[in-house]
Order: sequence, then structure tokens, then C-alpha cells
Amino acid sequence: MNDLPPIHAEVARRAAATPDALAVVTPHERVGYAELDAAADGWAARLGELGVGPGDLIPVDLPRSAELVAVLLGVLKSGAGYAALDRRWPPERVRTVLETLSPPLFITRGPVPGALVPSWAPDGEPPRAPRTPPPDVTGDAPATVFFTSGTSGAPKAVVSPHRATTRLARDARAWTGPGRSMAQTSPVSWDAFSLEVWGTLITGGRCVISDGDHLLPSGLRSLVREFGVDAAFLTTSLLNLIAEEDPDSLRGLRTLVTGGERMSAGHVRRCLESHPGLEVINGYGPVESCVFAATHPVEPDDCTAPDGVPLGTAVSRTGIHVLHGEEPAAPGEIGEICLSGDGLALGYLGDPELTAAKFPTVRLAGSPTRIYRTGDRGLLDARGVLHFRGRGDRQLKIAGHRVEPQEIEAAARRIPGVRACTVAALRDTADGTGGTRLALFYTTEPPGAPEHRDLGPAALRRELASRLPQHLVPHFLSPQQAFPLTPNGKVDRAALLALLPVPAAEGHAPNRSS
Amino acid sequence: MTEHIPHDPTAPVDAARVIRAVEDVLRAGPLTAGDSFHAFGGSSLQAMRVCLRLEQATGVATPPELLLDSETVGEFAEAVVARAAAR
Repeated sequence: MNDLPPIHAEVARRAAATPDALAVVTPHERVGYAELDAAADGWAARLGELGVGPGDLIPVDLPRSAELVAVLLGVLKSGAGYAALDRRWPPERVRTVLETLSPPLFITRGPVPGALVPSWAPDGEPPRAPRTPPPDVTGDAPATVFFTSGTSGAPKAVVSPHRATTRLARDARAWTGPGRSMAQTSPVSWDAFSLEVWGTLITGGRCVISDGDHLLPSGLRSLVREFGVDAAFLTTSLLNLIAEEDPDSLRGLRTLVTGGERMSAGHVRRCLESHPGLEVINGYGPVESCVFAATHPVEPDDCTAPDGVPLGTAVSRTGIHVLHGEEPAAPGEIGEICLSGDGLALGYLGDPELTAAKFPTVRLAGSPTRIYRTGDRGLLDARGVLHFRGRGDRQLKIAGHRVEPQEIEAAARRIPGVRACTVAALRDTADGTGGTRLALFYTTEPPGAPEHRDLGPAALRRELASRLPQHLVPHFLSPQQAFPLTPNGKVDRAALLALLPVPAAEGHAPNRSS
Repeated sequence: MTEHIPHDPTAPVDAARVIRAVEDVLRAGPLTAGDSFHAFGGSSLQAMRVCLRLEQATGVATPPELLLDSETVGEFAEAVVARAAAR
């Protein structure tokens, strides 16, 4: 058994120690620790009556609010785990999630696609429940499920244990704890939400939930000025946008935690020049290792390092290994970044083969060690600091989202009328404001074919948007009579990209200053 | 970063000004009211950039979803003008 306690036990400990301290603040509500914990007890009792308990994974679709935090905590106290769904996901995505989780109920005020399961939603004040001890779940029990892009054409359900989240608290103390206020701005379906909410509540800080789905500089200013926020997590893309357009909006922040993509040294330098006292932490880690595997406090010198800002050193109870196959690479040698320790997910729900392939047990330093193979390439330098060196496959990160182009191609091929398609990543060659974007080039069934129909870009966009979350809908949709081929007989992506209405080249947006 | 839209919160917010802001961010155009933001590959980050520049220049706060969910840039411009008028 693992010695790391479950999330709700850690929050309850805080509630007992500082019952009156503010736990969750929104533009409309202020909820103290004892009040939050009691509300969660009430919802846990109600959910227990509805048959929810250990072993269940409960989908939750509620707006970002203090009520959402209390309900999620209630689900955990009932002994179950949860999957928080993005409210903008289309019904087909939600249906896939429900089929994957096969839960006893769906916590939502909206419709249930296909009426697959009964729904329930909190109604008014939580019931006053006696403080009965929650079911005996340990740090090893499933707590959170995150859906991420999959190469097989369906999203992957990453199931993480309580310990993966509670292990983060030791590192989160660098920017949260009593007297500090962390912003909650990430989509609820991201693991960064766990950092913002549970990382803060486990350490006794205050979690300030922002209004709206997209944080703009004006929203950030209001969080700092009106709600005393002094720490925030921003994706790399958002940080770059703020650095370019309005770096002054970071005024008042003490700590900026960032991650999701490769850090741009030029952008972070601009932030540090505007705000010399600002602590900027570069975080690295796939969702399979719950938020972060490595962190690095950025120093001004890092911004001029020839090979970019390092990913840093391992967070607590996490191991970083750079391997060739199953053999450790020498310091300075590039290999696959592999992770071990308490942050690792239990696996992919309903996919034991993929779980076995991506989470093998290998012998490291003589002892069998369960690892996660990230697919990222990197190296450990002589001081043991991790550096990123790209990927060996097609996976992309766009605005903080993981994107597997194969998932998009599979979804497009299932649309009647689409004959063939290919997804290309592109970067602007004009000035780069678009960052990395996706283009889908497609051919349609010819007139006379049984599946022929008029499928222009606007119609195809509607079809894709009804099946995929917004971040997987390609930015450009370009119908073709046929795909141009290179002399080797491969699809000529450069020729296709030349057809787009903006100047673009294949590949990731450059890391501008490294 | 170049300031593309003159900063003047008192100047009237008209549709042409909004469409020009979209053009500046997309680096495409000239756009007409009937053009779609998506036909030029508009991303959510670009929608955020349009909205924050409009807010800086005019004081009118517009959620990026409004641009992402509009069929045309003209429809978005009308919505921004209506928000400005409702101030």
C-alpha cells in the first residue's frame, strides 16, 4: 500500500486545521474550508444513496464554480473517481466518454446523449450529512480520468490514482499554501485543473476560479486586483500571447507556472524584463504522469542558452529516465524520456494492450520499475537536468492540447462523402501569430458514387465539430480533386500547403529565440 | 508588438474597424463582411488576440467564443458594435 493519502483526506485535514480560511473564491461566491468539506460530505452521502461508490468513475459536467469543486470532492469522498467534462465537447464526444466509463450516473444538468445512463445534478444546498468516515480508499485508488487524443482514432481515458495528485503538493508549496491565492483558469478536463484546485486546497491556499473559458489580460488583471491572485498557471501559448500583447497584465503576480508546450525563451525573457521579481516555473509532463514530471525555475541565463530553456529536474516521488529501448542513455545522449514513480497513471481505461505497451516494467539499476514511455525525445545533462529534443512521431501540442493527427483523420474518414484525407501541421511564415495550426486536405466521393454529396469546407467543419472537441477541428479544410504526389509517390504536403490562403510551411511553429 | 488599431476608446466602434482588427491578426485579406474567420485558418489563440486588441483599443470586452462561433466576420463585427452601443 502507498503511504500517500487520498485527495479528500488531505483537504479534510486542512478543513480541520483552518476551518474558517477561504478555500474557493469566484466572482460570485466565497467558500471556507469547513463549509467546502461539509458540502462535499453532504454530496458524498447523497451520491452513496444513488449507488455511487468505490470502483465507479463518474462523469461530471457542471460549470466551473465552488459547487463543482464541492461535488468533485463529494465524488471522491464516496470512494469513486471522476472525469470532469469540458462543457464545449460535442454530444458524440460525450457519448464516447459515457461508453468508456459506463458509470452508474452522469452528473449534469444537460441532456444525456443516447439516454445511456441516468443523470443527477446537485439541487440547492447540500444535504447535511453526519460525518461518517468515507469508504476505505487509499492513495492507490482511481481518482481522476482525463481524456486525451489517441492515435487509434478514439480518445484515450487516462486513469490516475489519488497519489498522483497528492504527490504534487510538496512541489506546489513553492507557489501556494496559507495566505496565497492561485488562479483556476484551465479547462476542467485538463490535469492542470488538478494542480490549480487540489494542489492549492491540499496545501491550504485559496483557489480563485475565473469567469469565462478564455483568460484574456483584462481577466488576469481583475484576478490579481480584485481577488488577490498571486500565482497562476498559463499554457505556453497563452504566456506567449500575453508577452507579445500585454506583458504589463502580469503585474502583481508572484509566481507564474507554465507548461504544455516547449517554452519560448524570447517570450519568457520579455516577461522577466517587465517583472524582474516574477518567479517563472517551466513545467514538463504528460497527463500520464499527472501534470508535472519535471519543473525548472527559469533564470535570466536560461533565456540565452543556445538549446533552449531546460525542462528541469524531477518533481517529488517521480523518476526521470532517458532510455534507448530499456537501457539508460549516457549523460548528454538523446533517448526516449521515460517516467516512473507515484505520478504514473494506472493505465488507459478499456485498453490493456496499449497500457502494457506504454507502461512496461523494466529493470533499472537492478530493480524492476514500472515506467511510462512518453514518446518525447530528450537528454539528461551532466548535472542531471532534463532537456527536450522533439518527438519521434506525429504527435503535436497546440495551445496546450495534445493532438494526434491520426485521430482527426479517422474522424474525417468516418464522415460520409469523404474519400481520402491527410492532416498536416503548419506554421505561419508571415509573422507567426497563428502558432502551430492544422490543415486537413481531403477528396470526396465522385458524382455517381453512392456516398457522393456536396461536402464543402463549411459543411465538413460542421460535421467535424459535431464529432470532435474544438481543438481537434483543423483550422484549414481544403478540398482537392486529387493529392499531388512527390517523385517518390508520397503525398506532397509542401505543394498542398502552398494552396492555403496564408503563407505557411510544414512543421511546428518555431521556438523563436532558440 | 505593433499597435494596429488606433487607441481611442471614444472613437465610434464600427464594423469596418472590427474587420480590420481580424485582418491584422490573420495576416490575410482584405476581408469582407461575408468572409469566414475559419476559411483563413483562424485559431482560438488568434480569436483571443483579436478580442484583446479590440478591448485595448476600444474598451469593449468581447469573448473569443463570439468570433469562433460566428459564421462570418461581418456577424462578429455586428455583435461587437452592438456591445459597444450597449455600454
